[in-house]
Amino acid sequence: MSIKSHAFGRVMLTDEDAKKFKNQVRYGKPKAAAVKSVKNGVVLAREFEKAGKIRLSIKRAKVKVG
Amino acid sequence: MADNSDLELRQLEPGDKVTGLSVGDPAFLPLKTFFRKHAKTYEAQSLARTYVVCEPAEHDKPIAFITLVCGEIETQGDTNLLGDGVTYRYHGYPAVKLARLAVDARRRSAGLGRLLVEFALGLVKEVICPAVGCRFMVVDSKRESVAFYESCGFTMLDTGENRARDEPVMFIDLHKIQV
Repeated sequence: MSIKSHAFGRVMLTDEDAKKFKNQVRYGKPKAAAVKSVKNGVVLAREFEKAGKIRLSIKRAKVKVG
Repeated sequence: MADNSDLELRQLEPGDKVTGLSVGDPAFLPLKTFFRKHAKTYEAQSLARTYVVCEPAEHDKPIAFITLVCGEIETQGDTNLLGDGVTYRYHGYPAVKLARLAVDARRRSAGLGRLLVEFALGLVKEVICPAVGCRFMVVDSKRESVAFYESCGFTMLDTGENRARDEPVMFIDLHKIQV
């Protein structure tokens, strides 16, 4: 086993999994979806930091904070 | 669920009702069990943080939740991730683990899961990374959820062994994302 991971524990990688992870981190570029998710999330986090909660409307998966 | 609903996203509170969540698929029953049996204890003991989504009419009855914990990705061998010119002598890389995520089966397809994942990513990027240092968000995804996490921007650790796991490891390198 070269991967050990538990929902509430660390991820341990050895052998080929560790090498692959290194290559993916060293040479990988962020996915557009990741950039979008983080940007959306930062807006939410800032709102959360102000009030300790977020009020939002969800309209067919489109989120509007306010 | 109506197309347009006013919702509240906040941290789990002691008075919240944690018994009514319906997860539908038996594969997700452990999520329901965690929420019912452990979420409040972990919250009270600072072992995890759980954030919930509620509707105003039932403000103490969460319809979705996400649980986050401190984590680490440890690599063995010659596995300096950071490339030439960066000295880092340790095998552990700080991460936040997305430990649990569930949306009530009756509220699916409204974007609540994505909302919670985005919120978690934003919280880590905006609050945790600048305060204590944290490089990755990581999740052990259920097979049924791999496509969902990929759509949120997570990357599969691309090895045969990982892909064969019941809960393959997926990650986002937050350091590379500028906001």
